[in-house]
Amino acid sequence: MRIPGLIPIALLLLAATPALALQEGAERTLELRVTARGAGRTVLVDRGTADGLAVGDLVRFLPRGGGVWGGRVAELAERTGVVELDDPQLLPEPGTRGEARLPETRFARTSGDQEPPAAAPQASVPEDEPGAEPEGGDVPPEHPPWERDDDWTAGQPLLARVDTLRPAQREPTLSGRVYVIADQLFATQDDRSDTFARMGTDLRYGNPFGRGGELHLDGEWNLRETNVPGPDESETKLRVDRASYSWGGSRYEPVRHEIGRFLQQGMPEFGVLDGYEWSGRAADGTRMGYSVGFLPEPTPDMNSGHDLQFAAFYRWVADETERVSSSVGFQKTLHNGAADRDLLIAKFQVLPDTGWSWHGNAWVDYYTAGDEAKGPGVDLTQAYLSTSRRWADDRRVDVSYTHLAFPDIQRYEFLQLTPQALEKDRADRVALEASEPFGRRRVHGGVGGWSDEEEAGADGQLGLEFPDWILDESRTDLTLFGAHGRFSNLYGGRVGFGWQTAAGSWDVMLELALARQQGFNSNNDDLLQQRYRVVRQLHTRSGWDFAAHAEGTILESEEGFGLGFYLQRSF
Amino acid sequence: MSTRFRRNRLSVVLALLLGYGLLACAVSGHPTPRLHSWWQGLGPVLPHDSFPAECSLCHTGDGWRELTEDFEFDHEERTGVRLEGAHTRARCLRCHNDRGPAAVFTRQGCAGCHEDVHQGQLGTDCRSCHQQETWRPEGQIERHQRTRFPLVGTHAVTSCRRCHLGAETGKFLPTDVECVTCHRDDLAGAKNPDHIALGWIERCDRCHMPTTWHQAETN
Repeated sequence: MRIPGLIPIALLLLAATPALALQEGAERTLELRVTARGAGRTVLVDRGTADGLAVGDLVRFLPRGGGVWGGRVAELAERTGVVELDDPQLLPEPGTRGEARLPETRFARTSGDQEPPAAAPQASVPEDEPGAEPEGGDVPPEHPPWERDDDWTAGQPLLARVDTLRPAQREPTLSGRVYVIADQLFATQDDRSDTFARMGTDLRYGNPFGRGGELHLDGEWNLRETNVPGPDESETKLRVDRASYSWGGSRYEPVRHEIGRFLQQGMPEFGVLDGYEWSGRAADGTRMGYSVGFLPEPTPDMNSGHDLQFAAFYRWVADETERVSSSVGFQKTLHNGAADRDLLIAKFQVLPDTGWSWHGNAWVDYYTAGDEAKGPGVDLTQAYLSTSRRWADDRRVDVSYTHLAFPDIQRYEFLQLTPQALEKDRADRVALEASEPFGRRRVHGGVGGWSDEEEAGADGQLGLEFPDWILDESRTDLTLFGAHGRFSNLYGGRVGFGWQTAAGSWDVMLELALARQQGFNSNNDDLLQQRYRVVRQLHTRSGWDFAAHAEGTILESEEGFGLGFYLQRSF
Repeated sequence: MSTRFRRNRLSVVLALLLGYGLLACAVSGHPTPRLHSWWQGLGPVLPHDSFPAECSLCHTGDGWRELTEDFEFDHEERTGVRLEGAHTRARCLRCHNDRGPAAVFTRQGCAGCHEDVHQGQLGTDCRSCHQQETWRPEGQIERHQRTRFPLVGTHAVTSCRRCHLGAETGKFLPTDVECVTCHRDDLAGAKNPDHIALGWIERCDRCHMPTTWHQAETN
């Protein structure tokens, strides 16, 4: 047998391994993490000289999104280090893992340094002389008695990881806001006015039963009055937007439940629901779920009980960072017990590291023979596509496309439409907006084009923003704009002034525009329109926000004004 | 508008303010922890495995449940992420909580944490309409000028909800721009001359300017 003959050789190799490792070129991998971003192209890491790092060492970062970003150690403390990245555009986020390959010889020397020194003569303290200086040099002062209760138990390592407190160990928390808002619009002609006052709250009571759930209450009390020629309209309403309890869906619990009145979390496009939603998250981050209940009408009354819905969704994510995801969902509704809407929604988003983002969604309605206005078939009733690119210096470009059409549904969701409008109405719009720094100034603008079932038109604006022109921390903006609309063309200019103060801000806007009515049969189809607005906002660190605004529109033969305030307490 | 009507409105507004005052005082009495600080009942919720190794940056040496008196967390300096608007005054646990790594959610933009009450119809850039201090939308009339229906005349001083039925629940679209969709009652009431009898039921803009509705303005 030849194999037994190899054993002595293997033993020799094993015995020689430490020596081989210490030879020139042998390396050890030191794992580390980014703890913060530093100035310029630097990041802080959680390793220092005590871990064997030295200035000049190469470090490789391994971001979650893939790739390997390099850097070099620039500064060191005992337990922390500063690493300068090779590429200033590639700065890893805090938490990113990395590694440095260090020569094994460095650790051999370090280990040798840490070997206990040869036994020194023990300082002797006579037992009958407490407090006497021992012989043989400095002695550390006596440690004061340990008084704290640090929940340490026998057998627990002293340098254990910090355990998070689970919901059962935490106390409930209350957060949210209460607000009051009042707006008054009035026009000089016919003494028309519109009052809208409301008081509301958005409360979140977290962990109420020690299971990590959340009670959510969001509602408003509204007062509306509209005074027009003829009978005045006045009403007060209490509207409950959200009243739900949700639990699960956390890092500890992949399954999530919500019951009550809530906006569906899995697919918000399906709307607010009076019912129940279940969703589950798989190990790879994909999610799926379903919901059942009644859809409140999206009106100030939020009447419920007419539209029963069943919905399900599936969401795919590329990895744990969720930078790439897509979802698909289906909703079936019954209006007063009769089949109503079959809606399929698909959407996606791509959020790479480079500043780009892509979003899109499409709503497809499926009609049967019972849908008389549109007839059997499928209909794209909404589509939204957008892509954006943002740079660190505030440059940005946004491009979007929107398609809208009315779905043939029985549910009360729109103002009353004629059958012709329901069948033919559509609107498509493409828009591009951009912003470019120009020294300390900023140029911004946008162009857009639209078409609907009858016409097509376009709009555009171009502005220049001056920072600190009139006052420090201020912003002055001059914008020219034009729009070719469905019924009117509008051309004008606007001056905006914003001033940021320590406690809030001022915003002033003046606008002068010439509107020309397109289809008007007579010559006096021009209308000079002036608008102005002043807004004052105040904020406190204790959670109070206040805003007051005054605005007006001056026309040729009449004027309109608006006044309002907003007071909010967040906690 | 009758005197009784004005008195009722004043009473309602006063009641509204009083109710708000009581509610605000009630919540102000709630034991709110120091901003950017920590109290034992809260956590730690987060694992510390990505925190700096220098514990004394945050903790005193007397116990790991005590933070240093001058503990302040500069979010931009420590994490590279700048907090703006009301986020500077938000409690840490509103974002850093049981849901998972905050970076995953913040990368999604506003919708990572905030409900999209517009149900995907108005895009993903909330800041094109909302500002981050109070979330109150400002400048909607200017924004409307970039649609096929720029607000001209009395439309610029009309409450949004008069045309957008779902405005108060966040649903603005789709909205028809034909005059009759919003002015159906005006059309039915136009008897001198009787518009419906004459078949004048569309293209109202041929005779009416948006400065006024109840009479046609001609040369």
